[in-house]
Amino acid sequence: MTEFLSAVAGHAFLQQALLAGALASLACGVVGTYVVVKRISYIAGAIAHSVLGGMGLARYLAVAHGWGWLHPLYGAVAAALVAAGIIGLVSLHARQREDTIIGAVWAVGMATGVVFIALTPGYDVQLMSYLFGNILMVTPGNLWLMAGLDLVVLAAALLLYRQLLAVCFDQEFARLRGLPADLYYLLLLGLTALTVVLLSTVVGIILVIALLTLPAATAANFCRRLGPIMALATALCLGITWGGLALSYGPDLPAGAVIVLLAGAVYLASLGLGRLVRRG
Amino acid sequence: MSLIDIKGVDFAYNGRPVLAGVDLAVEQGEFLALVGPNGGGKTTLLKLILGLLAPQGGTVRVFGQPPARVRRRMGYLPQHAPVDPGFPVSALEVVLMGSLGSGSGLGLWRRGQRAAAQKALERMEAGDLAGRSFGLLSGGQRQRVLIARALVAGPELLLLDEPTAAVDPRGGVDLMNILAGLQPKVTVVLVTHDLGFVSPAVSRVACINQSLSIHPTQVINGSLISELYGAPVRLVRHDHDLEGKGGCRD
Repeated sequence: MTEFLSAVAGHAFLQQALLAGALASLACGVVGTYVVVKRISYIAGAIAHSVLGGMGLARYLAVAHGWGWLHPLYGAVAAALVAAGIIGLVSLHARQREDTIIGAVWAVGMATGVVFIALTPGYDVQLMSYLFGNILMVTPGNLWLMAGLDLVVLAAALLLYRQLLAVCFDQEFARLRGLPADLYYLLLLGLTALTVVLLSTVVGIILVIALLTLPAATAANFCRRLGPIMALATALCLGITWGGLALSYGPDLPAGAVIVLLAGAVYLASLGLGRLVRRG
Repeated sequence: MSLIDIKGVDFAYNGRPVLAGVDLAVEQGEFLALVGPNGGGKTTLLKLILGLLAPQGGTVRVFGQPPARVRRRMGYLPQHAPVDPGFPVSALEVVLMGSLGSGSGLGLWRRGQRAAAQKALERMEAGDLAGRSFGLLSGGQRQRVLIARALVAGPELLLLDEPTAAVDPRGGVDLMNILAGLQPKVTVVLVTHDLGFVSPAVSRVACINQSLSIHPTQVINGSLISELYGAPVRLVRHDHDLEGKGGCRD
């Protein structure tokens, strides 16, 4: 651990990695809580995987057509929002086919990404970092984009707290009250999409779903109100990303995988601990 | 003018008639029970009054207007309210959600909204439940909280779909008595197949099985019920004596 701390002091890339983890944790705690209570983690999973399509396309356009400004993260944001829109509209208008469409978006998005990465000239080592994340490669430019996404997500999720809560708890009733419930549901999926992109820079798109839901699910074992769950989930997510980063540094393990393993271990421990706390 | 005015209403789901030539007038301050067998059209009629469904024949007017336009003046308890026992929310916050509308603005609950929600809970004799977790309440307590959610926006008309379905007999009787106390300020229309809870508090009973007939509560007897349910049924008379005396007789 002291080795990691002295490395942080000496290396800008580690400081940036820690900052990226902190930025991702803010959105993770708040939006992850909505995802858990609304039970849409499967939708979040589909959005996450479809992000590969946008990253692959952006990378292809950047390398093959010289659109150098088009960072894969922009493609990720676009793909995540498109996937959220498709799934949202389908689940609102054709309920009985919702799971089929979610599965289709999941796989078609990934397939698109794989094809574009294959079409991209030259040997592309990026694929693994898209899939499993590489928090150590975060650049200052990425950090600004992440901060911008954070601002959008947190502002919307907190300012519209009452409306999102009503839609999560009882969408039908919210609609009856004259609330534009469908719009808020789509907004929630949009916020989930942006959060997925934020988290994918830390753990990659395959492992995102664990980091999005496990801290919130862990917090829900200790708190019984939405606000405290969000606060605790944010703190847990921060501890888990920083802790995972530190644990992976010494033995040179992939940071994303170690972070997710840590999230899983913390959740398991909370199941037992939560029972003790409630009993006491 | 009646508060609810239904004239010659027909409704069918995919060609299967559910309601035929239904006339019903409900006056301000009434407590009306809609009873009838499953599939008899009770919930459909309630949804027509709410304007969630449009009649295929006839007219529905509430406060003299098309129902969808005055829905904000109605409170509604759906038959199957979503109950996720793990949802992290307090009873008070469930009630607060009833005060949201299209122009609710940003941020957290207002102080006035909280006070109104607490008052709505107290009207349902559930003020002490405010801070409790909604998912940990009993069936009867949950129904009180959900009815408070329907009451918090100050509706003039309260529509309740099977409010006693998941409630034990004692809780059901209590609930009916609380609802009876809301008159005459609030007009109540409730749907139930649970005749036992109906009589004491209700001013009129509308029996519905495609067509509708109105009865004062005293004359509900065996022949009426077998006519309604289309087959002889055994009538078990509840005397609502839950202290142990009396009980049920055939």
